[in-house]
Parts: sequence; C-alpha cells; structure tokens
Amino acid sequence: MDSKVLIAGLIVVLTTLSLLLFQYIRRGNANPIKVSQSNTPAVLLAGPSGSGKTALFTLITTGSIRNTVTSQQINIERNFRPSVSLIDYPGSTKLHYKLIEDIKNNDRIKVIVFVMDATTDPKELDTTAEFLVDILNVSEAKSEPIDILIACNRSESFTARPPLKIKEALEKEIGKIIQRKKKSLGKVSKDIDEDVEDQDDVALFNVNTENFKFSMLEGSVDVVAGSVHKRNIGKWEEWIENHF
Amino acid sequence: MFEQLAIFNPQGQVFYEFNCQGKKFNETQINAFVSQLIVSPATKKDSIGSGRHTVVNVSVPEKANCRPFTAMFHVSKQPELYFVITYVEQTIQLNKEAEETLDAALGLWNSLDLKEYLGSWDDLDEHLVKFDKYLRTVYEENIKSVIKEFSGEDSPREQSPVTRQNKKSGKKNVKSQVSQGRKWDRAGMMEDVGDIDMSNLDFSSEVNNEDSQPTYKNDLSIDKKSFGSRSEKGEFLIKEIDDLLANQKETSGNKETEKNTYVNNAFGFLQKHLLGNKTITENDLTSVLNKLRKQLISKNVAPEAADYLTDQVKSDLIGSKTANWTTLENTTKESLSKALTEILTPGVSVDLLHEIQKKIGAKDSDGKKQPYVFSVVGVNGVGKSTNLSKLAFWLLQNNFRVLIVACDTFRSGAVEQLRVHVENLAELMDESHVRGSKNRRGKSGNDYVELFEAGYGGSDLVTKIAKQAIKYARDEDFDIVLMDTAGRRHNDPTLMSPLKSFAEQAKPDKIIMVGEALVGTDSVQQATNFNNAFGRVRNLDFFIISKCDTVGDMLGTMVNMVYATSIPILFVGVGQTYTDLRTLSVNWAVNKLMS
Repeated sequence: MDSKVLIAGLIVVLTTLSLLLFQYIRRGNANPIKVSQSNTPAVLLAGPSGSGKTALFTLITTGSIRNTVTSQQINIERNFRPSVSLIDYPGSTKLHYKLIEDIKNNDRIKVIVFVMDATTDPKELDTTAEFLVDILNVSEAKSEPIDILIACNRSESFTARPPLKIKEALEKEIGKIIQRKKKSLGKVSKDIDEDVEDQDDVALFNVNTENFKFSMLEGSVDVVAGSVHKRNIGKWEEWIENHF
Repeated sequence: MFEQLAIFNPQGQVFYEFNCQGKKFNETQINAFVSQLIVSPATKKDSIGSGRHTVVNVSVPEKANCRPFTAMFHVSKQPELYFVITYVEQTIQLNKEAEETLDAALGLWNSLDLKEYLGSWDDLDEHLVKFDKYLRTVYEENIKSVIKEFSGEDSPREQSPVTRQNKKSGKKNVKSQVSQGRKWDRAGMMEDVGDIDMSNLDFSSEVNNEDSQPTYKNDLSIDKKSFGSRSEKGEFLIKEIDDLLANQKETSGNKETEKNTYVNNAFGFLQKHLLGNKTITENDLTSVLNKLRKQLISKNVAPEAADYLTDQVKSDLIGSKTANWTTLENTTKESLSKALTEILTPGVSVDLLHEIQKKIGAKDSDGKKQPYVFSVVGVNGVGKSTNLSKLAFWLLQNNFRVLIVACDTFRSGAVEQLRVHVENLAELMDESHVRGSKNRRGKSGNDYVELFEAGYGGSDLVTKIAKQAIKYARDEDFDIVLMDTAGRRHNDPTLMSPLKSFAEQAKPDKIIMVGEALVGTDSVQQATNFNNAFGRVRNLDFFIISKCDTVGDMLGTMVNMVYATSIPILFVGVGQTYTDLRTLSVNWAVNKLMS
C-alpha cells in the first residue's frame, strides 16, 4: 500500500518536472526583461545627447550609416565580438540613471566609450563634463576600475577641436565641477534623523581637485578623435580590441 | 502640407523618413520632439478629432535653428515604433492631412508586414522602396487633393464680401461638377469605357465606404476633376494599395480571435506566483496594479498621477515576460519604481553654483556685474520665507553676497519676519554683528547679507521694489538677489495675474515655487496654475518641497508636482534650522514611495 502511494507520488513529481522542463525549453529563447543584466563582458556607449552614439552603434554592428534620432531606450548587440556585448545608452539627462545603475550593479562592464561632439565649444563643455563626472563617480568606485575612451566624434568638421585640447578643457571643467559639488548641499538621507553616508559621491572627492588630471584616476582615460560620418572609427575599434 | 514623416524605434534608429518639401531629413525636429516626450511625458498633450493619434505642440530649445512645430504621432506596439508627422501649426486642414497620412502610413506598414524585416537593414531597404512608392502615391493622389478640397470649403469663413462671393461661386462650381459627373457617369456606362475608368469609380466609392468620411461629395468631385491628369499607373497603384489595405483589415481581425484562443495551461498559476518566465497580459496586471495604485494614493499621490504611472507600467510590461523565479508582483513593482524614477529625475542638469558663477563672472560695459536673481512663489503658509532664508544661508556659505528683497507688500509683518531672518543670518556670518543695528548703507544686515525693503502697498509697488532692488544690488556689488513674494491662492486669477508682469519686469533668473509636502492632491492644481501664471514664454524653474520631515513616507506631493509640470525638484526642506535644506535624492524618494 505504502509503496503504491510512493510510486503514485513519484509519478506525479516526475510528470510535473518533465512538463516544467518542456515549458522552459519552449520558452527559453524569450528575452528577459532586463536586457542590460547580461553575463558577458560588455562595452558601453555613453555620452551626451546628439553626440552620435546610436550612429556609431549602427556603424559597428551593421556597417552602414543611418539616420538616427534621440534614443529613448538602450540598443544592445549581444555578440559584436565573440561573447562581448555592445550596449548603447540614451544620452538624455532624464535617462542617465539607467546607465549609472548598470555601471554600479554590473561587474562585467569592461570599458566605456564616451562619445562626444568634438565641435562643442570648450566653454560649453560643462554639461558634457558633468555627465563624465557622474560616470567616473561610479566607475572609479568599482573594485576593478573601468577604462574609458573619450571618442571625439565629428572630427571631419572644420570647427572640431583636437583631442588634446578637448582633454585639457575637460580636465579643467571636471576640476571645477568637483569643487562645486563639494560646496553643494548634501543629499537628503535615507531617514532624516539617521545619518547614512551616501556612497555614491565619495569616489571622486578623494582626488586632489586643484589640478584635476585624468592620470590621477585608477582607470585609464584616452582621448581619440574619429568620425562616424566619414567611417573613420578604426582607432576606436582598435582601442576596444586592445581591451579584450 | 505637412513637413515630414518619420518612422523610428525608441532606440533611435530611423527606418523611414519622408519630407514633403523634398528636403533632407531634419533630425533636429524629431530630436526636439523626442526630448519633449522624454522630459514631459504627461503634459502638453491633447488629442483631436477621432483621438486615435496624439498631438503635441513641441517647443524648441533656443539654440536649435528650427521653429516650434506640431507633431502628431502614433506608437505601435511589438515592436515599439514611433510614427511621427510634423507640421507647422494646428489648423483643421493640417490636422486632417496629418491624420490621413498617418493612417495611410500605418496601414501600409502593417499590410506590407514591414516589421518582419526590421532585423536586417538590407531586407528592410528592399521593402521600404515599395512602401515609399505606395505612400507617395497615396499622398499625392488621394490625401493631397482631398485636403485641398476640404480646405477650399472650409476657408471662406472670414466674412469679407470677396470671399463670400467666392464661396458662392465655389458652391456653384461644386454643383456643376456634380451634375457633370452624373452625365459623365451615364455617358461612361453607355459608351462602355475601359476597365481603368471603372476601377476609378470603384475606387472612390470603396474609399468612402471604408473610411466613412463625411467628405463623400468632395471625393466624388475630385476624382472627376483629376481624372484627366491621372496616369494609368497611378490608378493601378491606388487600386493595388486599397486591396492591400482591405486584406490587412481582414487578417488583423482574424489574428485577434487567434489570440483569444490561447489556453491558460495548468501551470499558469505556478508561473504567475513562483516560477516566472510568463508572458504578461493585461488581465494579469489588473489586480496587481489596482493594489499598487491604492498604495500610491495612500502615499498622497494624486489619482491622475497614479493612473499615469500605472499606465506606464502597463505599456512597459504587457507582452513581455517575467524573469525566471520572479513573481508577477515583483516584476510590476520593479517596473513601477522605474516609472517613478523616470518621473522624478530632472530632465535638465541644474548646477546652480555654476550658473551663478557664470552670470556674475561676466562684467557689463561699466565693469559692474549683474546680480543673479531668484524669486520665490507659492501658496500662503508653505514656507516661502523660511526656505528663502535657508537658500540664503547656503549661498552665504559659498561666499556670495546676498540681498534679500521684501516683495511681500500685502501681509502685515512679512517684512518684519524677513528682517528677523536677515538679522539671524548676519549674526551667523559675523558674530560681532549687533542685532537691530543698521549697516553703513543704513539698512538692516551687514556686509554679507542685507534686507531691501520699501514698506507695504499695492501690486504695482511689488514690481517697483523688484526693479529698484536689482539696480541697488548692481550698484552695491551684491552677487545674489533673493525676492520673497506674497503667498497667494493658486485658483484666484486676481491674485495670480500680477505674477506675470512681475516676471516680465523683474526678469528673475530662477523662479522657485515652494510647495509643502503636506498638501496632497491639490498639489497638481497648485503646480499647474503657478506654472501657467507666468505666461507662455516663462515657466517655473524648479520646486522646493518643504516640510518633508512632517510627512514620513507620504511623499506623493513630489510626484504630483513633477507630473503636472515636468519641472524638477531641486531642494527639499527637512527641518527647522538654516541647514535643513537638502538636494533631492531620487532613490530615496522612490524607496519611500514604494515601501
């Protein structure tokens, strides 16, 4: 009697399991909701709106030059190099949090390509620099610092600045921003009476800000010119290649 | 004539673009449209006519070299695609044209099954050629002429004698055309015209039946008018396209029923609650969302804001799959925190210190610097003066010289209240300051902070004080001017209207609205009314949400105000002392709201 119950139970369990397995196989190819939480090493494309991230993404992945407009969601290519994914983040300020969260939580991010417009007036670099500071804040806090390539797009334009000039201007601007941030009001903490140190903002503040240089950072920062429009992206691709 | 039609995905890749004037694709326009969509998803929307598509008026950033325009758009699901038409402004004619064109584009897109080819650019290009040809034909042959006639009947509304005459003659024309048409019709039957002509007639009636347009008569007359000039090929194409569209309608009907026959298997329950990896449908979400909506409302979120958020979650989740080993509820919650984060994150970066330094760093022709002007507005008793003083304290810490201006000339004691704050701040900056003493310019305060006052009076006094204060600050080398205004009820036009002239005259660099966290649902109206009070060209710049220490986790007011206006929250007030001002941490707010 006992054994019969046992066998019946066993059969029930087995059928359930096999059916479940069947279900998984059938639906296994579905996209999970979180695209960005992949287990493969990843190259991130970030940068301000209108700098040419999606255009670069399209050029790398399909080899063609396309019209693009402001992105609202990330673009992802799983195997742009063998088991390396390429992720293109929207540049709109309101959507920065996605990028920042991903850098914070994903340990498989190896390098970030920060695309920017080389024709930007050095005096108006503040928003670009601010975005870079936000990224550096999280990327420098990681146990393995992330290397950053600052890709100066639109180098074919006659108003484009040379990479060295852009680097200097960015360093100057970042120094200013860090100083300003030190003076700004603190963030509202978890509970008003309970003082919890906000981990987000500490990483960069240890750096001596008087004369900020990219060389002070743990991760390397390279500034290289190129142009998506003229298909002149060989140096960037080489840089990415060297990091894998 | 509309300006351009673009089809693109939320990732920013453009699949198709059609410029009416035959010009190059103008990304600036579409970019401005998308940024507006990202920054203020809930505002400035109104739908017209049948309401199938959404219309937004897009304002363009100052730097961009294009004019403000109107966009009509439709978002298709799975894959998410944006069909956008831009045109100069909203008129009946242009709205109609845009709607027709958008319908045609959508119909063609679906009937050609173009979404199947989205994976590869080469395939897509190949099929887009056909799409492009069809769309152009439909537009040239059909929509353009319909619109012309539509407007021809519509425009002579102005009552000048000339147009009236035109109208009469126009009517005659139509009549004669119609009667001619009949003759022709009969003649056509008798003389047995070829197939093409017949198809032409077929076509006009077919179109009218399908779209059930009120412009039946117009269609008929146009067809005949343009008959002579029409190429055979065009005819053929139109017929083909119509057939295509008709087929599409049938098949889409079939698909719906197919979907309904989807059987919920025995593992539905398990999957929903335990295993994950389940395709989410609207039915699954309803109960979870109702629960979350109630929770949001209990946290002081206004029902309309809560509805918007749940809609966001719906469009995010329906059709997607839950991750392995996650329940539907967790997935929904995650999506809701995402929606909350998105709504609370500022759309522009606001670095006040940077902006102040930039402005006061630039000297004018006399070698004087222009002070940076803030003005604070809000409903009575929300803490305008208190938060102004907190702001002043922070600015003083950053070595700016601050002039506080008493623009509240209504309420008795308002100026005296500010004087107390100025005395406090002066004492904090310089311990040797004697309370109640006058400084060397004969005003309250000391070298760091000073009060500018001119007694009490009517609303014209307010703008006068403001202008004088700015001039005074410039002469006396102050960096910052902080203007306190009278509290006013947001739904009283007589109180609100002076704000507009105040903003025009005083030209504050930043207008700050103080809202209290306690207020609840009314905050939507408060924020909207204050934002609109400054006229079309000026908006609020940011909010300070006060009294956050008194509400615990009921932070719904923040969501309401940002939802209503898409203006960022910069600071939150968290206590009684001058140091109790903090920048908003979006994560903190979202966690509180979700807890």
